[in-house]
Amino acid sequence: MKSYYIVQQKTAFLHIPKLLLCILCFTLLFTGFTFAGSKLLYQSDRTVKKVNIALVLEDDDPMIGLALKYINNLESVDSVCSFYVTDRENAYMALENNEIYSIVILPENFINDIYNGTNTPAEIIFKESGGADIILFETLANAAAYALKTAQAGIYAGIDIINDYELKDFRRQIVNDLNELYIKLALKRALLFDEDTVSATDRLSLVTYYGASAAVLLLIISCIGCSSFCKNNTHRISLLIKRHGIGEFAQVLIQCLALAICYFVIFAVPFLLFEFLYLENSVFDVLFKVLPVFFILIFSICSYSLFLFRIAKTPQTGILLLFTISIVMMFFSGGILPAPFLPSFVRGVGNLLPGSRWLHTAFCLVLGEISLLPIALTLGFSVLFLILNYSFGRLENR
Amino acid sequence: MLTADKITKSYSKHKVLNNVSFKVKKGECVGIIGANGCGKSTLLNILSGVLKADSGTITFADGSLCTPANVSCMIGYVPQENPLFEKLSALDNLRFWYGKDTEVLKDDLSNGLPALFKITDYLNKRVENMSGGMKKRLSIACSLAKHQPILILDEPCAALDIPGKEDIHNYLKSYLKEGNTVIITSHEEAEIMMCDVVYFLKNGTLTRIEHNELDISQLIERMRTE
Repeated sequence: MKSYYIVQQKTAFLHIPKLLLCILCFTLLFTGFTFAGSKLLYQSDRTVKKVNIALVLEDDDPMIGLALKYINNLESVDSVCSFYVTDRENAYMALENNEIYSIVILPENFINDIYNGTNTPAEIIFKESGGADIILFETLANAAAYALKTAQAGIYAGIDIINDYELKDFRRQIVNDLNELYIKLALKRALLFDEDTVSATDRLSLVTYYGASAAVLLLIISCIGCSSFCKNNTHRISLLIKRHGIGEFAQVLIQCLALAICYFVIFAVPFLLFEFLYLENSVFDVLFKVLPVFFILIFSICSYSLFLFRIAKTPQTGILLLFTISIVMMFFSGGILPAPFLPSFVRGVGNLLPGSRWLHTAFCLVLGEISLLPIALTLGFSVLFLILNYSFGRLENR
Repeated sequence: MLTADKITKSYSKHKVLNNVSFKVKKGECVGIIGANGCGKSTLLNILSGVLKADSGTITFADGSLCTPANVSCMIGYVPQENPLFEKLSALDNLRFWYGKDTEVLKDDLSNGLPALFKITDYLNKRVENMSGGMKKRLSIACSLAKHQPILILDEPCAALDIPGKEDIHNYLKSYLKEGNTVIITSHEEAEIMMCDVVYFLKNGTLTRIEHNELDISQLIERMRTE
């Protein structure tokens, strides 16, 4: 068995130049596609349009003008909204025609009522059957209104304390502090919200996601470079080798191992550089956790490729089969478009395919989160393909 | 030396060998002839342990059954398709077939079959760059790595030039002179005439033709008509 392994390993190593050429070609191809794709994506019109709001001012108090000027000058407002003053009739017409998101109506004596504590409310009117963005805006506006309400309640509570405890000497100071505290918070709504990024690529950045996906696809497709190695021994030779004491399953396993080691030798250096320089993993983690998982991933992909070449009659058919099936599999597995963008049926099928396991393992390697289940599943697929390879060979040779 | 008893083999519903029985004596050269596709290679594969017969037995002179465990020690088999690793050198191929017998290989490279076939002249040459004759000589050398007393060859001189054929024929004669046994299939007159006994395989049945009854033109006629 050792002598057969040596034979297979030597033969595999002889294919390294072709393999490297194949890897180079596909790397250039994928880089080209990525570049073209990113150009297309980022050239599209993605500017955020401002929210138009109509103001109906039924109170002619000059304070309103000042307040409006102040609000319009706030960067957080100006970058998102634009206000314009109009009458009720025109405002409702604009709302009906979807020219504006909402109408803000400030009634008569609005300012005086604030001073004298009557607190006549302003009206904010939204379109009844608004789209998702209007619903979103309405929700934000409600949140802002509640924030103002809280500010108002806080200020009045403060004033009550001043009056109840006769802190008249501190009145101005307290009022200024309360105003500053609440109004600042109320108007700077961004302080009240947490930023939460929702991404189709989960915790991976787009670049990392597509980088890992491209790496997996490259591992699969570059097998084309050693198609003559992957095309198995003929039936007669296989039986002769079996006669020599090396069973058919052992032949399959040794061939797969030889190919995987060949791949490992090629990809180990760039992978180690990536681990040490980009991910900054420790030597211990890389040697005892990451590298073995990387080898299992490679072994699994090799077992799949060898199986496809087994079922193909010629190396040329094997190449076509490998290319076509792999691209389709990677699409279903979410390697070309992230899984959330795929229909649920496609996602369901993709989860059963080895491509999704390989992608998952690659993502685990990038994130540094190595757990048993994805490795076990990847290994499981290796065993499956080895058995299928052996069984198909026996069926062929009958 | 070897007895095949009621060997039967079918592929799907097609019976290729139908109760084929024959004996091969020590030192004998046995030829098996027949039309293309009549089952000659199948019979040789079964005799050499590569294929399993549907029924029947093969026993050696000492009465032991031919099994996967002992067949490679008793029988060297040179199939039509050279059992060589094309991308590797002659030496790598020899190393594989010699296995653990590295000392034996070393001796043979000096004064054994590889030396006789002048394989040492192209030891580091890749098989894919060798001529047909060189490949065949290497195949025979690899097949006889264990110095087996029986050699089975399936059309050894197919696609060889005249000097290549002559080399093979000369070797077989010397191999036989040493008291070894050869079973050969061939379409070559020279090889058929070299045989002590010739069997004619047709419709799954083996018919013995004694050497003194051998007439090539009659054989051709039989292949065409029967």
